[in-house]
Amino acid sequence: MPSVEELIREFRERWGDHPSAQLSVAILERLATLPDDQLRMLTFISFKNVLGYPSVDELLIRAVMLLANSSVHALDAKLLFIDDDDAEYELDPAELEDARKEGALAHPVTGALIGDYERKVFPFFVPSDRLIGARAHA
Amino acid sequence: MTFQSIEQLLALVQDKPALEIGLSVATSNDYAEWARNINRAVDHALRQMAQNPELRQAKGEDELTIELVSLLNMMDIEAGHDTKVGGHVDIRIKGKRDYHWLAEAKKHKQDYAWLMQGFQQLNTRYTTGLAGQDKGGFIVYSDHARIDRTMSKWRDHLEEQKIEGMSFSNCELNDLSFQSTHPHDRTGRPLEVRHIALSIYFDPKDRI
Repeated sequence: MPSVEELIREFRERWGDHPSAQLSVAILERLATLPDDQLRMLTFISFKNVLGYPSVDELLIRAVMLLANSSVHALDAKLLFIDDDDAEYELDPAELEDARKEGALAHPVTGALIGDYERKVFPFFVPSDRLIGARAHA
Repeated sequence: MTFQSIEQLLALVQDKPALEIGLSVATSNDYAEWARNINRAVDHALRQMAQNPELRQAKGEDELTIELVSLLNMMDIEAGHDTKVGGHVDIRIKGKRDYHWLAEAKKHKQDYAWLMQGFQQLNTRYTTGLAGQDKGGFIVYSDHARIDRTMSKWRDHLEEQKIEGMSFSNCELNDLSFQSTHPHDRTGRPLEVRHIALSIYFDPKDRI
């Protein structure tokens, strides 16, 4: 399992020229030191806050996506559905994909169809096994 | 509220389909979903390339593939050209959990045996047939008219080869594409290959 420094090196080798590279590296550096209880549910807003970055913009979104999507794989992306009663359900991406095809999301418990589902589904991130292993190196 | 909804994020990336696809790739939590979104990304890049066929008609296979890889990289997709994987595969896309999507690309010369050779390179040389690496693409660039007919003939030709266990289905993303599935020679696992077309035919009939 690579260390955080090795993850950062691996990231820079592949994505060093990317416009969001510096932000991605800053996120990795912060994730290396944040306490476990602050890593349970990372959102674009929490990344903005821990970096002291002015707003959630395209550069920040791309920086986070690179960490979730590339072979560096420091983050796992997840989806949370919050219904009108504020009950929370973790959603499988396939359910969101089905909703996109059908134009409505089936409520995970009641099965009721929700047309404005995009207002009620929230992406969040957790450290991947790779990042957890890298943090354990320190 | 420390969350932003999909709706709010999509508003931020409005009119940037590449970023929307990138978000979908990032939230793909299994290989099938990831590969499906990679296919969306490839289609998006190829649609851009289809817009100026006159500029691309004379380009060679490698030039076209390098352009496609660059467009995918601009969508934050980890694509590489001519990467060493049992030989030099035309396109290798890597993702989390060692996901791979490999593709061979051929510029069609009205020679279906030539296409077959490319398909077999992908099938028997580059792909491992392992879980998380058993979906890929076969891209046909054509500077001839009616690429729909080319793809239809290519599908017939492939069918005539009687590759053991091979089945075909239409592609839900793009009606010029189709999909073949057959047991991989090495592992016996189903290898799904999406056969994708790019027409760079250009012959305007408005000149007197």
